[in-house]
Amino acid sequence: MKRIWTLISAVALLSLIVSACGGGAAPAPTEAPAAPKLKIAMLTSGSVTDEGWNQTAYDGLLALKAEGYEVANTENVAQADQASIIENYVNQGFTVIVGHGFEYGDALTASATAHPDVHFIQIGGIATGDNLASYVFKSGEGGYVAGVLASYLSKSGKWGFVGAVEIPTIKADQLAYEMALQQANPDASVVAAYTGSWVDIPKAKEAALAQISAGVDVILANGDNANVGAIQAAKEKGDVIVIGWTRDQSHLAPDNVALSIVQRVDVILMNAVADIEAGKFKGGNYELGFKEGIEDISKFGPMVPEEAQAAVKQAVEDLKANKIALPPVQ
Amino acid sequence: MLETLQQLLWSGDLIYATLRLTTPLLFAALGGLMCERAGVLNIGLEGMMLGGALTAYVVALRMGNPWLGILAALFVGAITGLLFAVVVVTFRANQIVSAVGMNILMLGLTGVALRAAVGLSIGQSPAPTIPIWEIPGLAGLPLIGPVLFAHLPFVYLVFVLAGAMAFIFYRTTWGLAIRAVGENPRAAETVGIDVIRVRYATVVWSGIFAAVGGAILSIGYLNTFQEGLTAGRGFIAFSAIIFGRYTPLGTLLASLLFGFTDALQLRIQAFGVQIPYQFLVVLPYIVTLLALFVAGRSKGPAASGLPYAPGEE
Amino acid sequence: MKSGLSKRLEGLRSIGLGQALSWTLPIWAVLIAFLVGSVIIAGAGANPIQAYAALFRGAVGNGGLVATTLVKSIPLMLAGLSVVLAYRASVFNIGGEGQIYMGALFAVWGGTLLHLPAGVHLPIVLALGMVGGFLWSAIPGYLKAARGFNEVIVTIFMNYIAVAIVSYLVHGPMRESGWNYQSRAVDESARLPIILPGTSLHLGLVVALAAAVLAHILLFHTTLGYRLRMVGFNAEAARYAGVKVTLITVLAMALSGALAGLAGAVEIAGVQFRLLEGFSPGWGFDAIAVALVGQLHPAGVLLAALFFGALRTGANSMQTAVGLPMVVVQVIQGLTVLFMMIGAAVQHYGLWRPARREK
Repeated sequence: MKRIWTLISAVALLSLIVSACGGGAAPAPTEAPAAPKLKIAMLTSGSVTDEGWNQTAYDGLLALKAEGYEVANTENVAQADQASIIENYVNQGFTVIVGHGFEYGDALTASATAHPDVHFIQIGGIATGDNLASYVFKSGEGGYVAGVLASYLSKSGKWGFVGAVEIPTIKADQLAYEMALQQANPDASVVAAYTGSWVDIPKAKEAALAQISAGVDVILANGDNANVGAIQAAKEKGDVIVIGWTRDQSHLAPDNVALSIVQRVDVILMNAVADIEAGKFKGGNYELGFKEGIEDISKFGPMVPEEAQAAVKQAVEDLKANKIALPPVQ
Repeated sequence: MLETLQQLLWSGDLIYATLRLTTPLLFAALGGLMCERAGVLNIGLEGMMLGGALTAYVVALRMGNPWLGILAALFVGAITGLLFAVVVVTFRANQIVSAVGMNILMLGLTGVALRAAVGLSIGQSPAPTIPIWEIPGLAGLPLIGPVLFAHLPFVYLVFVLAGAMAFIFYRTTWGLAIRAVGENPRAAETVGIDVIRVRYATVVWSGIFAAVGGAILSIGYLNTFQEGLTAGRGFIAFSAIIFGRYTPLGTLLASLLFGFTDALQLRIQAFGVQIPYQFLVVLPYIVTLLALFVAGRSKGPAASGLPYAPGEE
Repeated sequence: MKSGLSKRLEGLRSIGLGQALSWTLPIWAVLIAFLVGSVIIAGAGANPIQAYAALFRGAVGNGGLVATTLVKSIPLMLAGLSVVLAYRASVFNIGGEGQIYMGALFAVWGGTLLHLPAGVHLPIVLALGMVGGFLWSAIPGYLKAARGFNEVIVTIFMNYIAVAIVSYLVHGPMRESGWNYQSRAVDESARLPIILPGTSLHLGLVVALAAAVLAHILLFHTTLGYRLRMVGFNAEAARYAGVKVTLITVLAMALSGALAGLAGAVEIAGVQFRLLEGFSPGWGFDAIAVALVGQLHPAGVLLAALFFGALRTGANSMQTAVGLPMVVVQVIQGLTVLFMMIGAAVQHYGLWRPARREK
């Protein structure tokens, strides 16, 4: 009796394997076109519908897709899976690999060494190689602009900052935001809260509500999903203003979002891809900001006075002209 | 410093936030308590909450009505509860490990279903949400009105349910049957209680309660859903039952302690106290562990975790 | 305490402890999981055959992928063995995740602060990882044995606390100078060498295999292992036979923690080299599934870990081929556990029969 079951098990397993192999043979390789277009793959550590960092990158990827490139992406990539996923894309013939975050540094560096004919791009980190370019947003530029705007918007003289997990890019902007506020008003009180989770939107909302109950009426939200929570808190409380991050977030609460600091990942990718096609792609570390058109500001919300709009535009010009000394990365 | 602390503790906001944070936990915990008293451990509350949260969001978004979302979450909660009951009551599989499997499954299922139902291109579309319900008359009271009587309807409901559960447990034959099944299913059967039916019913109810807890997060408190949104709240609910010594009142207090500590830590951050945030976010866990340490052991129902086959000896 | 332990006995029998389960059981569980999974995949609008074909090709389609599958199996093997040791003594260690983090933390300390010659450094780093996991699991072990705490909730909470401690350390005291919120990388001398040139397969595989052999010897060929299984199988009888049940319980938990810590250390020394906030993708929980599908037997754990490692490796190919998110493999994992548990229970109890209604 037992043997029979064993036999059946083995047969069933075999048939599964065979069917898998059979299916695998189906998509036969098509003949290569004359000038193969680049194939671009992107890895993000969070969900690409987070209304923040990861979705911004995904928007960029979609922009490339619209240009006719073949693209693929993997979201929610665990630290331990980075290297094998990159390897997998290289094996599938992808020629440009994008790691979206500082945490991809080691995996991209190793893969870049192993695959000199593939181009690697890191966003938000500092790893470099001959075929590995890293792009970081000029630390604190966005935070500074947000701070300049925020200084005009608070009635209570208390400002807040809500983040998810403290990482380099976020911390740098938090510091610049605080610096701008203190320059405008030496007595400014700024409080920062982190929820410790990229996905815990309820907690981000609660963190924002906690700040609001402590008198805060302007919040800079910078933490992917955390932004959604903070904006919902502001919407619920009515007269609280939020400055959004990485993409225009005004659609989440038009009456509460004063401005979003926009990070043009799409432009970074477009430029990099154009460079690769022109044979001009060079590995290295690039710091990009307002001057390069990589950081930008969205439209202003209806509650922003003319005076503040002018000040923000001036701040952007000052940053472009390198006139502002931003706090060093800690 | 002292002044801010005073301000913190005296503001009604802290109490308001405690109630708000406690509610989803308490829903799941009460459901878990019910089946736990009938002898079925349910660490699958986390997965069941996730299922409820996703269902409520998707249905509310697609149908344009949050109450339909809640209704759908009830239904899905019952289904998940039923499936879990089939595994651990009918087949008598190990309850702890099956629940771990259940959680892994639900995390995957909600992730797949979210992408299949909502797609990738639109980001987080806001779903219609359950409105705050101010209790007429009471909400207008000075000081306590806005703190206690201007909440989501579920906030009142869950406290009523906790009371009702205490009544059911200790004052009705149904409650007696549940407790008897949890303590000594063999004896319960000899007095004519259908052990299997009681266990099925309580596990299905635990699924429904947990799903409502999840739905409150996605379309009561927020208007959106993301993979892993519940972020461990089901595990906290499970521990609130044990910490609460397997009674409705104890579970209520344990959940309140947890909600309070979480509300408190976020407010400590909001007051700009210079403690690394990593230590503040785990404050609820540390406080609960300390409280457990002080409170000592808590004894569960005697037949907790035990499978049961009717008519066998 | 007494009744508490005898209760566990019954609970554990239902996962097939102390009896020879058919070795085909996991195969059936996997097959049915794939079958049910295919319905879900189809429901999500993808072609299951294509999806599984891509999964299969992505996991073992060529030598490099096989090596990757092996690499991904290593932490699961070690963490799975950790679960086996605890469960065999009827201790439900759900704290593998925290113990893995602590093992990794101690390994990184040893690998970055000590500077020793190769050949000495690596063993010390791995041993430190075991110490880290051991210490972290000793806390719930003590609380359970001495104070009667429910180890399930203590270990779950301690997972969160361990992750927070690591997060704090890589943001502050242990942070690599410069830009990134991560620790420094461990010295070259503290790394596991590659054993298959041209791939990422490292010596950790040998470590995991050795651990499995040692665990097998410990469980089935030593007095300690005999006592451990005795406590797991029948604590009352064990106590009657003069076994110090409390001591064995604590020891099982500590050994389990040490193995989980080793899993973290091997991942550090073999793959990641440095500590980041999101170090583990949830191996601590996957390990429970691995241990049970492996029928709480060291050899079975190795095979089950390979299966889960292959799922993880192939997942990305499935995503690119049919557009399903990677979490779909969790559906299959979860289903496998559930069907495995059902199968084990059915083998133990037989199929459920409706109650005989008297009268």
